[in-house]
Amino acid sequence: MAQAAEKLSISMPHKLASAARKRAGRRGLSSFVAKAVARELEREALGQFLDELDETLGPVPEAALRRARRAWPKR
Amino acid sequence: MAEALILDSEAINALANPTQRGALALRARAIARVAHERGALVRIPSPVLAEVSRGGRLDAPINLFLNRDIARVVELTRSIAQRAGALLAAARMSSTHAVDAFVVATALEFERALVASGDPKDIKRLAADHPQVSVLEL
Repeated sequence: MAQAAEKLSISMPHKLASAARKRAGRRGLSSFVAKAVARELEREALGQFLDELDETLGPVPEAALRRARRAWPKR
Repeated sequence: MAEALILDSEAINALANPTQRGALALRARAIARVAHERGALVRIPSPVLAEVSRGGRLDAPINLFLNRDIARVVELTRSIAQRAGALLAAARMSSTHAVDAFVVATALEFERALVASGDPKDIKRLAADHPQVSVLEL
């Protein structure tokens, strides 16, 4: 079930607003911004979770990070 | 379209129980850290959630992990299900590998994806024709 939407008034740099409108189209702007905000919140939550584990259990070895970096498909 | 880290059952368990999973948890944390560096989304195919859920208090660590909103569960849609079936057919694999096929089909929803798996052999076979999907053993 879709959640109720809340109307917000936000400000952002003109260049960023133009790029977002160009990418999303005027009618798709709300959805585009909502997705971007959701993604940023997820990213912050993931970073906080991993920082907490580093603090309580110690950092992840660099070799494991290198292995994980090599595994991603090429951009 | 975004990049995604797709978690299989071992990867979820390792991240949800990091103090109990030793080296497995360290590798899962490394994979998640690199996903964070890349700005990738973390996703769990819904059939994988079925594999790790046992009901009641046994699900507490999984629920705590999910409630942190760092990894969303991807619904099993018609298109993902049909793509999974096609992957099984292409790899000449039976429906006993359906969950692995759902994992790869979910990965294919993204521009690029890395699947973190405790048992990657069958997932690698299903993803063999799709260079945008990599598989990493925990």
